[in-house]
Amino acid sequence: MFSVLPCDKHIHISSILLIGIKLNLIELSNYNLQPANTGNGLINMYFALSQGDTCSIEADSSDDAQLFLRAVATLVRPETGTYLYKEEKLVLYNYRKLLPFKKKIGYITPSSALLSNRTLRENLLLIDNYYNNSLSRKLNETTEELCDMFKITNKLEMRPTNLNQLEKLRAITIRELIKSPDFLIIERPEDYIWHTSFDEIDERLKSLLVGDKPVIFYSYDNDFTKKFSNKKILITGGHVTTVNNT
Amino acid sequence: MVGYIGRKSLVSINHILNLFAFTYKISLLILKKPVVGRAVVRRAVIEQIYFTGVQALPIVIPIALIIGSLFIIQFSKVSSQYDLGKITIILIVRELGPIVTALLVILRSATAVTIEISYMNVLNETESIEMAGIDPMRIICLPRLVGITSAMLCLFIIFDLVAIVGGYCLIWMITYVNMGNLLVQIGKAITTSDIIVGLVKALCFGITITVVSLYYGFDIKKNITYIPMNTAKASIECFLYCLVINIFISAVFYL
Repeated sequence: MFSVLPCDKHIHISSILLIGIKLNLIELSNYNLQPANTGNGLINMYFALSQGDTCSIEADSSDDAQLFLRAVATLVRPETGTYLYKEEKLVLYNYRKLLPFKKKIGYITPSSALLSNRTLRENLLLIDNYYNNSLSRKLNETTEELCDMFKITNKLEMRPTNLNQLEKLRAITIRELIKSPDFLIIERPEDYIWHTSFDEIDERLKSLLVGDKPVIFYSYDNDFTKKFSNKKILITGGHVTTVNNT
Repeated sequence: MVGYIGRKSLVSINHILNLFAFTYKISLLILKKPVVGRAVVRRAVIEQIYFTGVQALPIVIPIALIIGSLFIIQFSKVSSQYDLGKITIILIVRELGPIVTALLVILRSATAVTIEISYMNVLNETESIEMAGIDPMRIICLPRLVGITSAMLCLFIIFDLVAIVGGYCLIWMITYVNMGNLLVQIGKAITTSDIIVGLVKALCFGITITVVSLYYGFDIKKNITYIPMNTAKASIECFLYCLVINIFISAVFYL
């Protein structure tokens, strides 16, 4: 059916959207994962994420919710299962082959970290420096703007050990946003975003969440969930179901 | 009892095979030449050489001087009975030089690398590198392998030179011990194979120390209480393997 469409990828995708078929950005099927700590694990899971989806998670065990986020970020290898990214199957047993895909995920969770032997500026420039074979890259305008918004501009020359937890999490948020990810995974965003520079960040988040970029988030804040999510991922007893918010 | 010995042997063999596999995996990275990331890797290599090599000099030089002068004092007592040049070469260049240098590198760098990598694992820093689409093996393991091995080679050369020449000068300056023409004897006794053996040993020790310390660093399983245990295991194993490799290389070259 798709073969009649033009070959160019952008035209191809937009054509599909125009004729009303929603292409899955990622699709996990028959996914089985052992419990990480005290949860139930994930049993025979099916999950698909498309452009424009903003999914919130509701789980009977927070361990299962975190395991789900890690599974979507390909940080845990399933016992069985298939992971499709833009209809291409990922090789889950080879971590090197997953790296280009991982780069396309914005993974913002309290368990994310900054490199402690590098300054905050170097942390934010790591991807840029690495992929441009340089050590003299400068922060771009968007990054500087985000640093200002999150009030960490004066901490850029400090190492992560000199920052408090909130500042670290904000720096991680900036690092993941400037990656221009295909989709975002956010765990408990209200912990470190909600309380500061509320209006400005709220606007920025809104543009991200209501925009075309798919987001999966796990929040304890009902207001936050109500405000942003258009899909709900229910995890009960290790079984995952997705329902549309009406 | 037999079962216990059998099980322990299998565990040890498995561990050694894992170390070889890990060495192979890191070595492959040297052969690959990706277009991206060279600047970041180069910087990490230089930092590692600075930490393992340059910062170790204030420790290596005094120790080499002490060991060198001690040997020269003792040799001067038996100068009429033995070929002192040959004995100095055997003891310092072939055996003590590489082993003492390895011991110093283990005490300073191997422990530091194990602790650093362990913390990076426990605090999810390696995961963050992966999420940036960067291979952690490339920016963590490769610079350490190249850096520690290069530093080890340089330190070995410095140790030998300081122990022999520095030790001689020190004794000449502060004592009246008759050393005869020791430096000339050493010059006559040293052969190319002595230098090559020393360098081969230093190279093997550098690789062994890096691989073992990295292996234990990555083997931490997200549990901070394993860090001291793994650091102790890594340093003991590094030294043990260096001694075994030392005997093996000496046997291959001199028997």
